Amino acid sequence: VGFLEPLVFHSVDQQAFGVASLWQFGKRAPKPIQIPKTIAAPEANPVAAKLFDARANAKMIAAQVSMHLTPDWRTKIYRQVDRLLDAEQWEEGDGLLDASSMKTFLRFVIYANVSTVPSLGMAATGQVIAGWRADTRRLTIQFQANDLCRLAISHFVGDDTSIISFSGSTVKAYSFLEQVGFSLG
Amino acid sequence: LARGTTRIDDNDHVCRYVRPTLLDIDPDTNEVRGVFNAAFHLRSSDEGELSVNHLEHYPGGATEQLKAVMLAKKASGFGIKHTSAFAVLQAGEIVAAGKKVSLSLASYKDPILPHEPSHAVVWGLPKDASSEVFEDLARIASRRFFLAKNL
Repeated sequence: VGFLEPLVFHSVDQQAFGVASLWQFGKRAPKPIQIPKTIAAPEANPVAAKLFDARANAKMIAAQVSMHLTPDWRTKIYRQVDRLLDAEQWEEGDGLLDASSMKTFLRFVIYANVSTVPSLGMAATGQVIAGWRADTRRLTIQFQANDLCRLAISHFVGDDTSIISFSGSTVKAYSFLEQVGFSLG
Repeated sequence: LARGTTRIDDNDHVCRYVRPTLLDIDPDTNEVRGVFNAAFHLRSSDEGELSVNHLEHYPGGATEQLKAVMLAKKASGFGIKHTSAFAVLQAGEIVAAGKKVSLSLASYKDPILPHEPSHAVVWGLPKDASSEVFEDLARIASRRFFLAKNL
């Protein structure tokens, strides 16, 4: 998967693929790819159903690029997604994991060849937050849609109270991390 | 106490409830190693005030004070997950973190009666989540946080 190539995860634009013209020649039109949605039984918890769908959606996105992730990576990321969207832990006001943010996160880790599995969190907007530690520093990146992100580096031990930050594309964020010598493994 | 008129002394402490999704948890050991800076971001519903609790409202050490805060929050109907945490900051540390980025931050008592008399707010945080002040607060809070399950 080329980093700059758009990945199609959700649906196929029938117009863009000329489906209408295929129909005209009597061929069977392909069905659009759809992400199934769980319908909660009347007595079931609707929040649990929403979270189930969000977990499934996040894992489907990860599965699209799973060949680029090691089994250890996949296991640890899936486990963290399960935790973030666990009905017992999720609170009213928490977001549902944002699919576009998840895509940006995965594209970044593949592009940057990240070998250290990060700690994952989720902002109220549903955006993925990833945290890494190296020497005395901690790096936090919040991933946004369209390959954008916001990062901050601080020291989790010692007396150094300096903070550096960056906002912009994930490609430039990677260059920024190289400049400041923060290795992602 | 009138809402938001009594400033909290710089030597006193405030705690911020941190949801489980905003805790920095080691993916290998499952150990909670800190809080993410998003724990201090303002939401649209916050109206420019970060909700915290004033620890010195209650007697005792930090653990007793946090237990009292937790009980009060539960009494007011606030659900507290056992995997959540309370991040503790000194009011003066918040002021200093603001000064580093030319922000005037201050903590004020903001009692919610009858159940949460220790409720307080931090004024002056920016809406722009890219401000370095959030990472500074998270950095400090990551050195002094208490898991709800241990309280």
